[in-house]
Amino acid sequence: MALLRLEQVTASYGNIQVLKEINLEVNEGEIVTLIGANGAGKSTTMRTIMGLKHCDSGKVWFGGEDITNCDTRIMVQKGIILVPEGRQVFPKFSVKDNLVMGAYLRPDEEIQDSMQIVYELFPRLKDRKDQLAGTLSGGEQQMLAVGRAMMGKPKLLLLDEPSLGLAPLIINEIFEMIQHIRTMGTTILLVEQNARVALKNSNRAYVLETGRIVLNDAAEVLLNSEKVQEAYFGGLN
Amino acid sequence: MLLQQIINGLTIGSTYALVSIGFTMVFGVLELTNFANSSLYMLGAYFTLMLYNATGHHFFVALLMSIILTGIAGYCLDRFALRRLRRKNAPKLAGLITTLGMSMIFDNGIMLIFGSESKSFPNQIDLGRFYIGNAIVSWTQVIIMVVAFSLMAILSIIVYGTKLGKAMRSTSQNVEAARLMGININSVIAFTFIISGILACISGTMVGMYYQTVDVNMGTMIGMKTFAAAILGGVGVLPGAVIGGLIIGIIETIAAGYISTGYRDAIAFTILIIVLLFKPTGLFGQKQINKV
Repeated sequence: MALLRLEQVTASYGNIQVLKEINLEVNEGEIVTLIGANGAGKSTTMRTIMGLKHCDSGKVWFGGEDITNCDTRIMVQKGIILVPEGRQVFPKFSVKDNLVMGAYLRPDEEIQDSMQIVYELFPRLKDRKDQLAGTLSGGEQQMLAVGRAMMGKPKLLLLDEPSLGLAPLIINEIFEMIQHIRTMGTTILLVEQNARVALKNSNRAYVLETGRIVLNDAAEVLLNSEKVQEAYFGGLN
Repeated sequence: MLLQQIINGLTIGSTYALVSIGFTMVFGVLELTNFANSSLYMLGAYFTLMLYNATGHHFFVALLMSIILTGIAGYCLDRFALRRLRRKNAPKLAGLITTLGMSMIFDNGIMLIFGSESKSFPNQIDLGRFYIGNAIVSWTQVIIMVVAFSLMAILSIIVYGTKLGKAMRSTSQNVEAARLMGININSVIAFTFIISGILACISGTMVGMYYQTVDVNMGTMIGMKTFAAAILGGVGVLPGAVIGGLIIGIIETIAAGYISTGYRDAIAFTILIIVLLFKPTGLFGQKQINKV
């Protein structure tokens, strides 16, 4: 049974329909990528899963439960955590306080252990634990955003454009981290514009075009598909 | 003479500071200029007066009930007038106009019930006065300052030392990220409005006691003052609101004492404008760090 399932999900901003009958599944232990151009509806899909955006029709299932349009707080409680586009760390909090915020709904006595795990995952965050998050570099902020999400012990981690605005070396580092997080038992749904890197690091992928899913296959197949190469790899082979 | 003015200024300034804290907290969390904040101040003073008479002159019972009622008024302001706007993603300006409208509803409601003339307000804790040098200090002034500074201390413990305070501060930095942590944004906002109502009520009651009179328009001028105090200190910064309130209070009384009573507000605001020209973010305000 799929961990997360979207069934005919439709969502709109005003009169503009941005998601048109989306069907999508993420199985436990997978890394699934959503690729697509700007405005294809990738982030909206993530926001709909999180309950930040309500869908007009369709259903969202998580672990066999109907969670359609539930409050974001409920989603976090159930173990779905989103790392939003543009990191969105709390700039005036220290790195440590940001991490503590990530465990907001968890009992205080579990915070220390989780923080150790995050520090092992991102040693650089430990070095900078007392620094204000707003003064970190972009890559470090991304690590902090992922670390903060891990503090909530997600079953399903949603990552919205983790590579945005980062240097290629840092992007590799981030994706190594994503692989590592998967081995820790967390399922991952990823949104990326950087299609090549994303596909190399995923099991399966969906291609979104103006609110519709147009392709859906194993990541390797899509990586070698001419159609995807033309549209999303920008011909830089 | 100068010492006397400073003592008077600190007294009135600490009441500004209380109201200003409520104003700046709401702004910090919602980026909303709450014009109805000063109406809560007037409302609190009237509630205390009304309950004082209704309970057969039990001042502290009246004050306690008044604090609760004004807190509820603050909650209702958010719950029934503003929450729906947020859910509909209304522009910030719509919220601003709503608070202005609510302020008029509060003011006119009170005027309808109590009439527009000033009411005399009992000073229940008039314990006489004493001297520091030539300056006369009344115990009422001492009590006002002690209450105001104790409240500020309690509030900073809540904001900087508790989980709820942390939820407030994270909401003020980034609402969406706060929501993604599982924070219930609506409760944080409701709590902020309740606090601002309570502070306004206590401040309004103390000023009523100090001048021994209340009137429907008492909120209007303090609205300007607390707005100014919050901006002077750097809007959204709690210690800024306190310092801003005290500075405005002191400047005002000194201007009244040495120059002219009639010009005291004009002088206070002139100084505010001059400070802002040199430090547009206010004394304690920081430029936002925005990194993409």
